[in-house]
Amino acid sequence: MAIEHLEHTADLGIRAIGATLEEVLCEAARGLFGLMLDVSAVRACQEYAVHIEADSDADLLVEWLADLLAQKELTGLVFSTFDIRIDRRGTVPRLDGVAVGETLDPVRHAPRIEVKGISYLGLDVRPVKDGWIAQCIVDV
Amino acid sequence: MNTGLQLERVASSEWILPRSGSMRVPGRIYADPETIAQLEDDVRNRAEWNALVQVRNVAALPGIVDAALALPDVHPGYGFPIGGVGAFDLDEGVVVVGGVGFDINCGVRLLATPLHRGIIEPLIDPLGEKLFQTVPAGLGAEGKLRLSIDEVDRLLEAGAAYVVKRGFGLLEDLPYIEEGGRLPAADPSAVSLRAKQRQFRQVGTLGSGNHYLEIQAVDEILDAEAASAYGLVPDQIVVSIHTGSRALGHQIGQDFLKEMTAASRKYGIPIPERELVCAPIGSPEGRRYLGAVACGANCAFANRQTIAHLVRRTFVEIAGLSAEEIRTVYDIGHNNVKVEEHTVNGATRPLLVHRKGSTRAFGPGRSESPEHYRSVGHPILVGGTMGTASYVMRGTERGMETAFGSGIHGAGRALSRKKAAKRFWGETVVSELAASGIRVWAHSKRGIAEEAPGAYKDVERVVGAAVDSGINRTVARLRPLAVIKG
Repeated sequence: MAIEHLEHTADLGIRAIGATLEEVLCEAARGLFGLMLDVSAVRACQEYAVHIEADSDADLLVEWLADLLAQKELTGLVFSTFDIRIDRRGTVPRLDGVAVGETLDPVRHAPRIEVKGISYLGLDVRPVKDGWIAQCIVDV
Repeated sequence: MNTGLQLERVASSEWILPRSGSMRVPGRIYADPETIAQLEDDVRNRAEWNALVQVRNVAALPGIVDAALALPDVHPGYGFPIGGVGAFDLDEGVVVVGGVGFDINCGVRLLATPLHRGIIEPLIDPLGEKLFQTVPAGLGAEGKLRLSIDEVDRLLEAGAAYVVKRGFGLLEDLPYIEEGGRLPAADPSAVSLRAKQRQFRQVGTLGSGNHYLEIQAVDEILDAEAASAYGLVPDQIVVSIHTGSRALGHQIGQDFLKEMTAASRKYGIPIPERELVCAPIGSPEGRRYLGAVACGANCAFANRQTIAHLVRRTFVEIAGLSAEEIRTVYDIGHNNVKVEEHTVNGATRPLLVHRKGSTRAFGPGRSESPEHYRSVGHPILVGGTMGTASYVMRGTERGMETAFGSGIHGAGRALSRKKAAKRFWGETVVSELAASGIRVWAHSKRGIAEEAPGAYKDVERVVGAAVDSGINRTVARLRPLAVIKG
């Protein structure tokens, strides 16, 4: 599993590499919160259950990250641990799982920068040799 | 190497990207040679994110009129380039989410005080410290004004006037906000419940990234007539507030990227890049988006109005001024889409103008400018870097004729945030700025590194190209004295 923060002149990008689609989506979520704060300082105290359907794996990445991002204002929660499964039996992929974290602590979490949205620019989710890749550019 | 993106220089700061392939109109780029060289290098090197390719893609959208424009602060965005302008025919054209972005109506408010640079020095530290404590900024910060869902709806309809009614600011501010601080097209029913809920505690927050609050001094008057109209004099202390529509705007952008993806398919619109998903302007989806964007814009006007009130309160407390002595010079956005009248090829007609990282810059005579500014045109507020300068500029006749009355919005980034964070160290940037008389208060030291003056283009070069191309004129240069960052 690996996460890389991509170069973009105005904004920031995330590229996750892992063994499975579930793994790269979780790693991308950790990468998203890693842009905003010290994700290693976020304790696993509260769970947020996620259920998302999207047209494609790439859309699933956008919807998943956008949903987690919105929780920052809706519940005050930020996340560091993720556990999801992807169900492909329906006509579109479905993600079910939990994000675990705690209320944002402006001191202990060492806030960095606010992410405004998950863009479609550079959006790429696909199987590669020995695993999967998931990447997107986020607006800051 | 023939990239299909060969620029033709037509003036010292103006290039044309001729029509080719699926382009419906040419591209027109106002920039200095150094910026153009960078754009061409990005094409040659097949850079992953590429502003010239984005100009070409915008030029291929249905109903685009005259040319896809890029202004001197151009750099890669998503869909539209930052510093991009696209005007569309109301019958044939489309409305594009990427032409506005996530931070709807992000913009700048300029406040003028009666204070003079000569007497401000002992007040800078207490003012900066108090502003840092008073204006919520940075990740997770919450505003003083808590809203219910009904109150959010009223704010989305009324814009800045809503928060004035709630005690944040003065009625006298409203005429000096673009569109009077309220876009009447706002349709709260087009905004998702999630977007409204995210805004409950966000009104009056600065945010982070390139958002800032600066105490500045008028360093030089460059256009006496316009400066006089705007009430600016040498060495005057002013305050700039750069922020946008906060979480509500972000969620509208996110929601409509998805909605417009479906609309693009429904209407069979060929999309050169996924961020350019769009809908016909008159379609139900297009109208809904325009109603939602107007809500986002009103939210941004209200946000800057609320922060302006907090700034006023601070100056009243620390500098002993009255609230009425702190005047709104102007408030203008640089991520928006609106219907405006423009003359193209001799015919005047309404067009839908997208400006992504570009301000409206209407020249003399337009009724949209405050009456007091009408003879010179309304101010354009150009954010520089925290170590250099910001500018007050204005529009021109030429800008009206060739750039849909548009202006630059800032210096424009030169380095990615990742490169800037590697090259600069937050503590060092703060101490270097302090040595040159600029005090910084920030919630994130890494944010300071990413926003270091060296991460941006030289604002003088960007402003110079806007002036040389004839689309904008300088009015006053502002030097930062104190900087508050998220």
